[in-house]
Amino acid sequence: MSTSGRVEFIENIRKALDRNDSFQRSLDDVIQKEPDTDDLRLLETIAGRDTTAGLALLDQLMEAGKRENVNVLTVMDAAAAGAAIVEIAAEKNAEWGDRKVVVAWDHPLVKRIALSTCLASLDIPVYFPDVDPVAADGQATFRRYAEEAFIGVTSADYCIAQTATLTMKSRPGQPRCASLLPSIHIAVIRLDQMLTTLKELYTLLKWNPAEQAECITRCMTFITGPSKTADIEATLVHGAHGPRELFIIVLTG
Amino acid sequence: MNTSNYQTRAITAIEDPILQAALTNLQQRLGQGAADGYQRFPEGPELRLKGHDIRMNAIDHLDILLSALVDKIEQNGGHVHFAPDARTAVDQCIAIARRHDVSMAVKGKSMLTEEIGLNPALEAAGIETVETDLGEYIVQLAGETPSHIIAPAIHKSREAVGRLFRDKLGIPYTDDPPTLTLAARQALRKKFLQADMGISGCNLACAETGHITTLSNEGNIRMATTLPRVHVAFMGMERIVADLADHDILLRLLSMGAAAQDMAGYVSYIGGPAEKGRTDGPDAFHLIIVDNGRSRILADSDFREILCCIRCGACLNMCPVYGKIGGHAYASAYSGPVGAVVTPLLTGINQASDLCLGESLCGACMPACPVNINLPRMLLLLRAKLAEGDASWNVKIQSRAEQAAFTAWSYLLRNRFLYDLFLKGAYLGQRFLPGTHTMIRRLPFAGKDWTRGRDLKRLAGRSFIQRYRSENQRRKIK
Repeated sequence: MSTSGRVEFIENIRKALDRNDSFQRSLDDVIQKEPDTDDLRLLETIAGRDTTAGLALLDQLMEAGKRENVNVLTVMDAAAAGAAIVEIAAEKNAEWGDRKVVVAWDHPLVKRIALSTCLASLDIPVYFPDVDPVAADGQATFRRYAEEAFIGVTSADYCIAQTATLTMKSRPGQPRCASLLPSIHIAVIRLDQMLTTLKELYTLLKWNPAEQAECITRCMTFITGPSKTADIEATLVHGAHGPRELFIIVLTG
Repeated sequence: MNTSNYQTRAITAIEDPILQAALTNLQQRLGQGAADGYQRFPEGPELRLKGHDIRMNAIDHLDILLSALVDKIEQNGGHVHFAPDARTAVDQCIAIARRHDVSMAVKGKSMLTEEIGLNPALEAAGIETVETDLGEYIVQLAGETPSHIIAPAIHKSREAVGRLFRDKLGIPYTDDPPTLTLAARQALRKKFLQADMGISGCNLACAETGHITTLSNEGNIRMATTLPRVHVAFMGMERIVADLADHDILLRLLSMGAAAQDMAGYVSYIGGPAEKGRTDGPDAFHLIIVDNGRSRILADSDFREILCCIRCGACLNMCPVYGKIGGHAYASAYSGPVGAVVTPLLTGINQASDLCLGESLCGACMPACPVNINLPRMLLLLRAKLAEGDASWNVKIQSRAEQAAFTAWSYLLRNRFLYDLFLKGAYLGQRFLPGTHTMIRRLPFAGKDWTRGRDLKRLAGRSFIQRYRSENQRRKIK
């Protein structure tokens, strides 16, 4: 173990903190191990949300979307979501290649939209990743399409209404680059995936049994708005490295 | 790094009208923006105090938190390296690059890698290293150093960036920020797609879940940590908190302090290499945890508080000194009030004395800080060490002459007879000094600098106490 220098490094910190050998606390002594009443109340609120509450959150999301330059679209069902995506695809231009290419997650909600069929009318191919296990050439192929793509369609775990933040954990069939490499990122979510605040998200991540079981995974990402920079004379410009436009399509049906 | 010539660099900065306009704009926008934003937290501005408590508690349990983080990351197939000093950290990174056959690396912005001098060392080892944050990219192309923790190229005008991109990227000259940003987007995309290794910093790790976090608005860090085969993250050993509840508060404080945002554009929690068989994500994840003088700060309870710093740059955006002299005057990866405290502590208090002596002690940095660090207290303490010397920090008395002068002065103040004698002498002597009959234009010797920009009122013939006594006397007689 000490080949990495870990023992000496930590021992040095213990010395600096003036620990003696009898100091034997562990992480469990430092962190909150049981949800407190506030946490429980919040979990209850989240679990008890109905469509009316969801629609109220949607209004908040629209407001936040304006501030964060996120286009929030509401549609009744998957067919309407498909039509909305076709409209975007017809209007926007390819950025990284000569032809229009779309990549999308292998995700139940995205699959319901039947993107390939929808976009066939525009002659735009849609590529999905292999689901676990992915062969090496499968990785390279999807990456090549993602590099070329002008639109990436994903879902998300949650959408935080107050800040228009999408959150997603790394999972099979849901590549990280689909929300990163294409010029336009479209995330499709259901109304019941909306949360009010980041605090609700963190409370779920920490105390919800399903979330606890899955852990945070190797990579969890929060996305708030399109890629942006203000590094030249503090002038805000969208599309620094990641997507220059972000759409959130909320299925209300 | 050379923190001498502070004065020369400060004067150069003050005489640069473009820089002055940029600094004023930055402070009005970000400084005021964060101050307003603190008021809008649902928990109120007191959230800053809560943030301070969380950070302090984390620092007090640093050994426990780091051990938990390391265990989790190793369980998840990541490699953790421990670097007591800058040289070791750099060597570890080069060794990782060699082992993975890396010829090009893309980097996210990391002040720690500036501190340890990573880029020149990688270049010397034959590894092309490309900064990808737009500001850092501009600074790297220009062969300069960042002048702000969050806005590295704040010192460059759009015209200067236009000329730079014309010369280095071969595009037609333009001073239009969107066009310039697009040029960088296209040039850097090629680098992202070709790079073998991605290098990032770590904003704040989470001990409970075993993740580092990176925050950005451009998406460059997501690119650098998703596309290349290898991800190497550098983390100052103090950049960790206990659990996700702490993150809820601190990431909001960090986003507000850094860029007056409710939440940064992109936040990534990274806890190891990508799971086997996934479509994307790096095959290898290495975390290099760096001490480089931090444990020495940790051991001193007077300065431990500076380890709470989350490097958001908010204090720079409020500091009247930074607002005039800019980041380059500090000649350190860390500028502004935080740089004036942390740079002397990391590199030597005597060597970097100009930095803490240059700050005005006005106190603007403390309410600007999202975790309410008492920077003025530590600035004053550093100055005390410079005045009196301190063996435990190897501080030599900065100026024997100043110390002698103040010893004499305090002796004089405690002795009525000598003090009156001194005043009498000074009163008689001042008529040899140039000026009008009420004002002195120039003081001699050490006082010369004091009267460079202002006049000094001449001493009255009789001191206040003398007049008070004689006035009392006069009234009694009446």
